[in-house]
Amino acid sequence: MGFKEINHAELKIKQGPNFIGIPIKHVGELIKEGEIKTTKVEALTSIKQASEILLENDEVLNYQYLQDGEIKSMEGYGNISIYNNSSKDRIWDTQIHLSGTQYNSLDSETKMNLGIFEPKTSRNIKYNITNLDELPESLKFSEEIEFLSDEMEGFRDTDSGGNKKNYFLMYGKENNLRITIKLENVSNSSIKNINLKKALSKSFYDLRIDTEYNKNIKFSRNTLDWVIQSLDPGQKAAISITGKIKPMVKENIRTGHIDLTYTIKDRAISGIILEDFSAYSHAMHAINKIEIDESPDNWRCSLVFKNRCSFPIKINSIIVSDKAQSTKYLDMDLKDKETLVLPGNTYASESWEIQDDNEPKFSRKLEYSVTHTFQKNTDVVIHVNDEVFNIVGLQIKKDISEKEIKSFESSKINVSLRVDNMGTIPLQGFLLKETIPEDFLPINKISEYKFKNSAGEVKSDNFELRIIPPDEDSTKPHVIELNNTKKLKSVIGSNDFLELSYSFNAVSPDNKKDYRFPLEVKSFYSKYRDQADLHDFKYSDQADLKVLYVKKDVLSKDEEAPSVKIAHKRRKVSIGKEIFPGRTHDEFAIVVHVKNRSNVKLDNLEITDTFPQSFQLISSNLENKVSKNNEESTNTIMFNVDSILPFDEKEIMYYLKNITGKEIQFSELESFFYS
Amino acid sequence: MDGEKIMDVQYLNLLQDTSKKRLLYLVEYISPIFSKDELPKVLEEIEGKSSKSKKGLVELGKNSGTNADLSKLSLDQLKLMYQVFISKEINDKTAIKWRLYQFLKYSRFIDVKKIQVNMVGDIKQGVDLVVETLEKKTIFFTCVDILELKNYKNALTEVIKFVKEQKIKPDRVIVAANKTYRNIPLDQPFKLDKEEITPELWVELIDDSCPFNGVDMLVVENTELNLAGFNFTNMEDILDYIYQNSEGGQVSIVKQPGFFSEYKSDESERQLIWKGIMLKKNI
Repeated sequence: MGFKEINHAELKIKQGPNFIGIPIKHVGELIKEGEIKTTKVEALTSIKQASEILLENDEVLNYQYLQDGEIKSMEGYGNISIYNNSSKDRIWDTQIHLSGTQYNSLDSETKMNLGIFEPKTSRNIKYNITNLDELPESLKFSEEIEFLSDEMEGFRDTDSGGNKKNYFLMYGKENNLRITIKLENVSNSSIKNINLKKALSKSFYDLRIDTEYNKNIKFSRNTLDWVIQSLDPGQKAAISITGKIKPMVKENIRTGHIDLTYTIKDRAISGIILEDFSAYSHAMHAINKIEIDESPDNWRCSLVFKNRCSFPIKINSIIVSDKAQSTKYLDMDLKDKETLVLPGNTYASESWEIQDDNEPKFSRKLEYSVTHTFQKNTDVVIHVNDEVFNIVGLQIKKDISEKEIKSFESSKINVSLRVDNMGTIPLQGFLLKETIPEDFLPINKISEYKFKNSAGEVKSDNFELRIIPPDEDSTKPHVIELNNTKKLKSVIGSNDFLELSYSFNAVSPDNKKDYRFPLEVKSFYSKYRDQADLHDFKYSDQADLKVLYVKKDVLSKDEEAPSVKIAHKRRKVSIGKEIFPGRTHDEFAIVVHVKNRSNVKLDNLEITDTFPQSFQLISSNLENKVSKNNEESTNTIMFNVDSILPFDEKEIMYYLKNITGKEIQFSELESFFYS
Repeated sequence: MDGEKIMDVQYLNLLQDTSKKRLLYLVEYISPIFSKDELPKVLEEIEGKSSKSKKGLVELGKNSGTNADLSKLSLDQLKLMYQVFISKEINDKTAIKWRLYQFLKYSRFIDVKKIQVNMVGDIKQGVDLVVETLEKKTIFFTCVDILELKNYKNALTEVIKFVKEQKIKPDRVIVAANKTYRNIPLDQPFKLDKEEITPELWVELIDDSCPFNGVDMLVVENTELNLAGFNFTNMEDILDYIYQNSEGGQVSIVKQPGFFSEYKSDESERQLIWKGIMLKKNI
């Protein structure tokens, strides 16, 4: 359970699953007043017209989206850095006027006096960007996942109509997918340095990428790294990844999160505007007064402005008046004119003449400022969460308890069917279709069908039964259709099963026919999350493919779909009787031959014979029972044969003796009964 | 990543076998072992049952020699223990708090003398642990699941409130989280009873390059230590545990890959992942 201390710097830059948000880039880091990097200084001073005052406005927007495009969180902040890159000159009375700040935490109109900037120093103005949801969209992106397999009906329909889709993979089967990511620059500015990273589960294989941006794509360890140098306004880019995956264990495979970063050049997306920036540096202004040679007491005057610093200075206005300020000799508004005085240069105004006995005195007011360069950029960082692929799959086992039934005899056949949910989500609905061939009849009573899951019995009124056609004509085949009603919110939970026990009747099965009982199970899954809000649908063949995925499993192979063997067994027996004279004239041996001529074992044969009461039983080879029939003056002798195997024969022998001494009739010994 | 599995340990709902026997087998491998006085308190809080027992600060770990009898736990309790300490799929404040408690029992970051747990019942905010160190310093720990600016500020407000109520002043304040946003102002101190304290952040760090997975068995050779990988998230973590629970000396750690997994792993042979010497006496 390891915990580790994280300091402020590590929080910004450390990578790992514990940190939410992309590591902050250097441009967004706060720079307190202090030394700045000299590389920037050298670059700027080499340009003649470039100011050595640099204003950089960098904004960073962080978005986190759900996979379906819904915003989960967003934050934005900005930073305006003011750099004095001069190595020798300070600036003072630095004023900055910002507006258009309705999106951020500064006041709506912000004027700040930043005071003095020593050489090679900088200062920052930080602000948060609020009302992020009102900011204009700059780069539109979308991710579509298509299933190219035909294993499920409704799979190919990618139009979700704005609903949040469920994603599915078939358990134990090869699933083909295509993921398409589209980008479009919907802003008015050029978007630069677009970098998109997409992580795919390591379970994917045979991955292929299709795009026109082949050169800038790296693909390693199932992570796509796509770089687009720039997208102009209105320009689009797209990439497709096709791949295969075969889930063999129950696990949550993810669709893969996306990290996207890009820069909007020359634009601060919050809408902040730099109305004005001004600062003073070393400059000298004076009024030259020259008494005209030809006209004493007449003076020719002009104003000179000398730039003594290293910054170009722009003169905005010049007013020269008399002491009372009633007469203006110079009144120049130069704001809209490029009146730049470069470092070391001098500006001289037009001259005016004045008459004065003494040296004229003037009042002057100049507005000027060092120039500056203003750069702005917006960096956008987007993280798109991924979703889970639900795994769907069923394991179906069918068993018929009667492996063999008698031909042309009616009997009951008991079926038990077990459907195990091998997937990671519950089965919302199912439809079972079993074909019952001719000579058999299904039972059209739902109460005769028993249902059970891990929690115990499931009431049969949660299911609907249809027998097609709904008649009792066994000369034609029928179909049993069973599906759950909407009463059951999920018919088979994940890690659960449903057991069905039912029976159907054999009416007159013919041993010359081969009977099959093919079984088809359709399972239904919601296409969308929050399915309760969608319109009514049926778990039947008329399933609404707009809201449901339908997966079909068929049991057709011999080992999966057991059949019933029709045994054709007939009994054939013959019983013969022979009478032999015995050792003496009044003794007789009776031999009864019992022959089993069939291929069926015969059990519990009872053979009964009669003989006159004038005879007495002397002995027999089998246990017997003798009883008297006084009405007919006969004795009945009964023998029990336990069993005779097919095509086997048994002999019953018994000896009789005449006890009357009179002459006997052979015919009296002939009759017998077989039962 | 919602619904993630940490280092290959499956979430409860994906386990094939969630019988009491199996779960008890796994829970018995939670390290450090819970003592007799600790387990009822852990269960009381992770089950979310408000108890009639004493609220407020309770010192735990005094009976560390007597192990709790886990076989008496019900199936539901075993499931919660699995989700909090093994798969770590529950990451609310209470879960972080008890995982942190377990960590402090062996961590070498702090020389712990006494740990008091704030038994708060249904209240989901406030200081969670008060630790006294051997150097007689007091440290407050407050736990959050995902640290963002708003709940960071709330946490500090709760610390101020706790100080007023309990009349204990901390030398350090540490916020412990499962995950954190990057805009937490860690460099800014806050005022606590006229003094300024800079809070610290501890994160339940998962090392992506860790040489073992949650489902591996880690055998410390020549000792009786057979440890489940799901107790640790990085090498330093397990080394601290071994340091505290062994005699030291030459130590080799060997892993048996996939030992606790329900699925057969391709790697079946033992692999050496660390070898070194632990010196337990000052030289």
